[in-house]
Parts: sequence; structure tokens; C-alpha cells
Amino acid sequence: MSSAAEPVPSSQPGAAPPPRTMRRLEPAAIAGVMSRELANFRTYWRGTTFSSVLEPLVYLLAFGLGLGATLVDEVEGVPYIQFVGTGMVATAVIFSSALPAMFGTFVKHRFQNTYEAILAAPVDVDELVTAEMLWIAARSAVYGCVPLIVTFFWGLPPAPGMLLVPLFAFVTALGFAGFGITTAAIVAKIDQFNYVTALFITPLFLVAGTFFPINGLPEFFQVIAQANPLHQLVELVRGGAFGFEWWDLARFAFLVAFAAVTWRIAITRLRARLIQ
Amino acid sequence: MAVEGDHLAVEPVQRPQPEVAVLGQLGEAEVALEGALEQGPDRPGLEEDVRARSRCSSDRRSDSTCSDLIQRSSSTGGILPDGPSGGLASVLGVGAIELRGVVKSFGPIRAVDGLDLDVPEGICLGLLGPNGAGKSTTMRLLTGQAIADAGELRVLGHELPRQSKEARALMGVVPQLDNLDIDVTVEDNLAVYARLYRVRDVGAAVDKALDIARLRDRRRDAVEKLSGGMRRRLLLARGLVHEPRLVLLDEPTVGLDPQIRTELWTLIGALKARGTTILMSTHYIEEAERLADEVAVMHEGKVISRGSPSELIATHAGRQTAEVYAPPQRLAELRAEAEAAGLRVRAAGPAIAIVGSERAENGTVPADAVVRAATLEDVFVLLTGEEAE
Ligand SMILES: Nc1ncnc2c1ncn2[C@@H]1O[C@H](COP(=O)(O)OP(=O)(O)OP(=O)(O)O)[C@@H](O)[C@H]1O
Ligand SMILES: [Mg+2]
Repeated sequence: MSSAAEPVPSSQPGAAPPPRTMRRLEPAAIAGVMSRELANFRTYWRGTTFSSVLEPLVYLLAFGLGLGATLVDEVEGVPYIQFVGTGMVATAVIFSSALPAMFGTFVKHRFQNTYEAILAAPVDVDELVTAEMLWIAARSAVYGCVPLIVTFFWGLPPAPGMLLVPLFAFVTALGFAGFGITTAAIVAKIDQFNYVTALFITPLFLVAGTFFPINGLPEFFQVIAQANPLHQLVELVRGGAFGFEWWDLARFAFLVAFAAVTWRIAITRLRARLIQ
Repeated sequence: MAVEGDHLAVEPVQRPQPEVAVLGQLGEAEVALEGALEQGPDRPGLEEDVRARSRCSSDRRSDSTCSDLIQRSSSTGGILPDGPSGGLASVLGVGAIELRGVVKSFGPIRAVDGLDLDVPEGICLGLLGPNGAGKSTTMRLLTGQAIADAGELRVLGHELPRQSKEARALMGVVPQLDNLDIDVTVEDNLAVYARLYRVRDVGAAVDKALDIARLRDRRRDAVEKLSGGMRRRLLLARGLVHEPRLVLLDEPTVGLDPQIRTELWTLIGALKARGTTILMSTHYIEEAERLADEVAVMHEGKVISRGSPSELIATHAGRQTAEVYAPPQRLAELRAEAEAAGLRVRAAGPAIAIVGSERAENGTVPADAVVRAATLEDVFVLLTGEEAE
């Protein structure tokens, strides 16, 4: 409306007219969508928290103690269990971001019609996607720290750089949440997620440098691994634990770019799904 | 974003929240008036009109000046030029919904095909149409979840799809399918939507909505534990949590058992009495008859007839309908005779219904026919060619 910006002549002084035009990416809309996630999370947090603590423990026991006791002593000058423990942050992050984003978005859209109700309120698709990504990333930032904390019990010395790990986990999880939302908006049936997991998630998680250093791999895989956000996260976490290098800044910038790109793509794809 | 305890702190948008009491507790007209005056962004000097309208909405059928007023507003066409202080149409409270020549196709299917529809403020319009008529698509166009291929759409003075977000802030939507969060408590379901609608006092809004749904004592139960009827009441109350001026109800009672349907009708009736504008799609004749001030019959993406139920009946069906029960052979003969005499005949289950039988000459209607008053169902079947429910 042409009058959107003009002051409204009012016969009642003091009665502030409500805003005629609403902005994009309003914090109130984003917070509202996140509060829905929080309300749901309060009903299922126990199970999620239990598995996200137990999983790294099992991996650490199997790989760290098993392999560490029999085959490998140290990697890059670090006791193997600490090498795995720091790398496991990336595992925790991808499994608490990409998968919930994929399944959660799909279920909310196709089975529960949740998004139809949210979009009938003054909330746009970009706000919806932003809120879902922020929520998942906030959760992952917490769950991502669990392996690190568990590894303290195997002698990992606390270091100030570790305070940055939640931030690294948060940014990486944003990217994978965007990835998950995008795939949920693209697939036609829920079982097509099997392809996504087999083709992307598992390889990304295996060649991230969590369980073995990637510089032992053929050169081709080493180049590919540089494009793997999880690998960059692993390196950043180890930087936080054992000392940063200057190019860690570039790794962080890469993760930010990954999040920004998947954010835009997720908005475009989900909008194409939800708005006909 | 600050996290306070369990809830995210939400920045309120500076929208004055009218102190409207719970349904049925305040005089209807006053509530309608207050709501209209306080929620309307810029409508100074127009109290007169709003007052007149709220009188109408509380006592429509007996007051002829009211129908004049409504008539006049709808016949002005609704889309008025923008005045210096915003949409004049919205200031006058003329058109809550104004659709002109709206077209929406899905591939080869024209779901909405040149739809013109005006819903003046304060009325309950029933959008009556058979399956696939385009009712849900029309609702989706109004909430910005479908984008029209052609035509003009205005909701509460906001042009769609450009200002869809502003329009949605003023509108409440009750979906056909239950999409509550079933693991979450009743009150949290409401609180989330109060936040999404930027309600300033979330707690108070939740309390009012709980009263509407009559679920105050179940507020801390998970939705999963509610009965079917309670869930539907909650779904309706969720759409009203921000006290919208306009409510869209898409087949609010489809597939529900009769008891729940009656409960919902009571709630919708109370909402109507409060002066809220309602657009309600349905394919239940009885629902339209009971709740709608006006009915628009929709067929193949267009409104093919519109008026109050009694007007529609008088125009299309006349006064009386004669139902004849007989063997198929005999029915076919009778039908042919009646049609030859210029009467309209429709199938009515195992019988035929001769519509407008008061105009029939002696002998056209057999003596054993059951003669009854014409109904909206007769109109619906004549106009759409579909059996009604
Ligand atoms: N997303 C869509 N994709 C393809 N076709 C669609 C879509 N939505 C609706 N249609 C088609 O548009 C037409 C109108 O559908 P709509 O849902 O608006 O009808 P309706 O009047 O609500 O019917 P009902 O009473 O069955 O709910 C139908 O032919 C339907 O198949
Ligand atoms: Mg429908």
C-alpha cells in the first residue's frame, strides 16, 4: 500500500498505529517457530540425550580402547583415544543435525501438516527455514561437545581453544541442517533418504579424519576431503584441543560459507514445495 | 534471542490487543465494535459505520436497514481506491475479502477459474461446493500458500500476494485436518501460536483460548490424551488465539461424528455472534444453512450463485418440492412429463424430486407425492448436478 511509510493521521493522540508492513526475517517469527521446537523437545529430550551420550562412549570404547590397545598407539603425536575423541565431535554433529533435519522436515511437512499451520500465521518460508536451522544447530552445539567431555576421562587435557568448539559445531550443524531440509524438500518418499544417507552422510563421516588421518589416503581422496565440511570441523576441534594453525581461519570461513549456501538453497527448495 | 526458562522470549510487535472478553461473556455488539475499532490500524472517524455493522451482525435478520447497508457495501464493488490514510476499503470495513477474476491452475486442472468473491466484514459466508470445486484452493490462495495465476486478491485491505504476511497477521485459519502437536500440552500448543501471531500477552491469550475450547482443566495434558471433540475445539481455539477479525474455516466439521459437529457449530455460532467475519467452506448443506448469513455456491472454480439461503431457495427452487417414490420405470415417465411441463427435476436417492411443484398444473405431480418446502439441498443439486450430503 502506498501509505505504508506515511504517518497515519490519528484523531486519538498517543494511540500508536500498528506497523502496516512487516519485515522479512523477523526475530519474533523465528523465535515463535523455535518455541514450537522447544515445546516438542521437552517431550522427547531424554531419549535424544541418552543416545547422544551413549553413542560416542561406545565408539570411544570400540575404536579408542580396542584399536588403541592392540594396533595404534599414537596418531600425529596424540594418544589414539584422544585423536578419536576429538574427531568424534564431527560425528556427533552430523548425526544430530543432518538426520533430524531430513526426517523432521519431512514428517512435519508430509505427515503432520505442521508447516501448513505455521505458514498460515504471519511467518514466511525464509523465517521458517532459518528457525529450524538455528534450532537444530543450537542442539548440535551442545551434543557436539559430549564426545570431548567424555574424552576428558581418558586424559584429554582441557585447553582454552576448546571453548570455541560449540561455535564450530554450531556453524557446521547449520550447514548440515540446511542440507537436511533441502533433501527433505526434494525427495518424493521417505525411504529415498536411504540413498542420501548411503551416498552422502556415511562417506562424509568416514572420510572426515575422525578415525584415521586423511593424509594416509590416496591424493584424490585427500583433495575431496578438503571439500568435506566435517573434515574441516575435525581439524578445527583438534586445533582447539592441541593448538590452532593460521589456516584454521580459512577452515572456519569455509564452514560459514557452507552454512550460508545451504541456507539459501533450503529456503528455495522448501518454498517450491510449500507454496504452489 | 534470549532464552528465559523454558520459553523463548518473543519480541512483541506493537499491536494493541483489544480487551475482548471470552466468547459469550460480553455483549456481542460491544465486543465486535471494540475489536473493530482497536484492531483496525487506521480507521478514525468511522466509528459510525463500524457501529452500524456490529449492530447488523448481532441482529441481522430482523433489521432491514442492516441488509441495506450490507447490500450497499457489497454492490459498491468493494475495491475502493486507497485514500490518504490507507486502504479506504479497509477503513470502511467494506470488504474483508475481495477476489476478482482469480485463476489458479495445477497443470491441466483449473482449480479456480475466474473467481469473483466479496465477503463484507461481519458476515459468515458459506462457500458451498462439491468435491473438487476449488474451495480449499481458494483458502490456500487467501493464506498465501498458493499463488494465483491471474486476478486480484485483497484481504482486509491488503493486496495478495505482496502483503500476504500483513493479511495473515489479521486472519485466523482453522484447517480441515488436525495438525496440533500431539505430544505437547494443550496450553503449549496455544502458546506457540500466540507467539507466531505476535500476541503481546501470551499467557492471557492462552487463558482466553482455553475458555473458548472449554479445556481449562485439561491445559497441562498432552493433546494425545484428549478426545476427538476436545481436539477439534482446541484446533478451532488455536485459530482464534490472536482474536482475528477474519476467520477462514476449511470444511470445519468434515468427517466428524454428529455430536462433535454440533459442538463445533455452537462455537462457530458464538464466533459469529461476536461479529467476526467468517469464510467457511463446506459441502454439508445443513452446516451452511445453520451458520451462513450468505451462501456462495461454488462449482468448477467459480461462484455460480450467491445469496442468503432463503433467497437462493426462492430464486432457484421456488416454494415447494414434491418427492415421488415409485419403481424406476414409472419415475422415468413422471420425470419426462414434469420436464415437458417446464418443471425442474432432480434425482433424490431412490426418488425423484420435482422442484417448484407449486407451479405444476393439475396431474403433473402424482397425488401420492410427498410435498415439502423447498430446501437449499434442492438448489445445490440443481445448480451443481451433484448429490448433496
Ligand atoms: N496441489 C495440487 N496439485 C494438483 N492439483 C490440485 C492441487 N490442489 C488441488 N488440486 C486440484 O484442484 C481441484 C480443486 O481442488 P480443491 O482441493 O480446491 O477442491 P475442494 O473444493 O476443496 O474439494 P473437497 O471438497 O474435496 O475438499 C481438484 O481437481 C484438485 O485435484
Ligand atoms: Mg477441500
